[in-house]
Amino acid sequence: MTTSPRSRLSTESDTDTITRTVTKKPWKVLVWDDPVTPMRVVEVIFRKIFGYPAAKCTQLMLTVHHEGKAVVWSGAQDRAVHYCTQLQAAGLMASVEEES
Amino acid sequence: MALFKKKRDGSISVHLNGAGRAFVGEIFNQVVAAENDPDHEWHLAMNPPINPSANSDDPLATFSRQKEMASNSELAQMTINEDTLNPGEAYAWMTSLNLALRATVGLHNLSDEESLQMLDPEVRQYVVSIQSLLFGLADCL
Repeated sequence: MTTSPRSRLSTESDTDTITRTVTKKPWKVLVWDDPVTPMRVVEVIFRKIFGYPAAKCTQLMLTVHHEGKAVVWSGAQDRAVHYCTQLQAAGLMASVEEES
Repeated sequence: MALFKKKRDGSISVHLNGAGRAFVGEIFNQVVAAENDPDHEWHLAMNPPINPSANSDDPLATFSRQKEMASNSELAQMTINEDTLNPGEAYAWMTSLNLALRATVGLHNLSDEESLQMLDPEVRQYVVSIQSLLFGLADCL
């Protein structure tokens, strides 16, 4: 089966679509400083929940301690919420926030 | 003598006397009670908002947190009389004790080291005792 140039053009026009990429903003998991949780405990919890190497756990813990908070993970909202609940269940002050 | 000692096989031996175990056991009991009782004085501090910018948290997320807490604190309760803990049990002890610490901080509005120093001596001793246990456990994990 063949189509005339005119009808082919028409068909191409009908099927032409606009491709839009919808980019969802990542969500951040924040851990907040508190005056009582021992630093070593924070490191152990980061290692257990995220599986980060020891050096990264220490660096994140020190950021929390010195700057009052640290972004410990960033990505899809459902995973961010999951990690946040794990951190809270381990007794850390944590929350999620959409990237601005 | 250290309160906890990591053995060669990775397990953790517990060196608490009767009073120490009673103290820790009572904390685990309180954590389990606070999870289940919305009127418990620790309940609010143990259940902070997950997404503070939202009007309310997703019930599935709060259920997931509750399940995780229950899993840890009930395991801690079950193993209170053990002389040796595996790393998973020791982690459950650590997180349950840390939850109790978190709840105490929330209850007494402790925001910094200074406010800790101004606490009632009995509460301060309670906080310091939990911290000692946490230091010991964290060093073994």
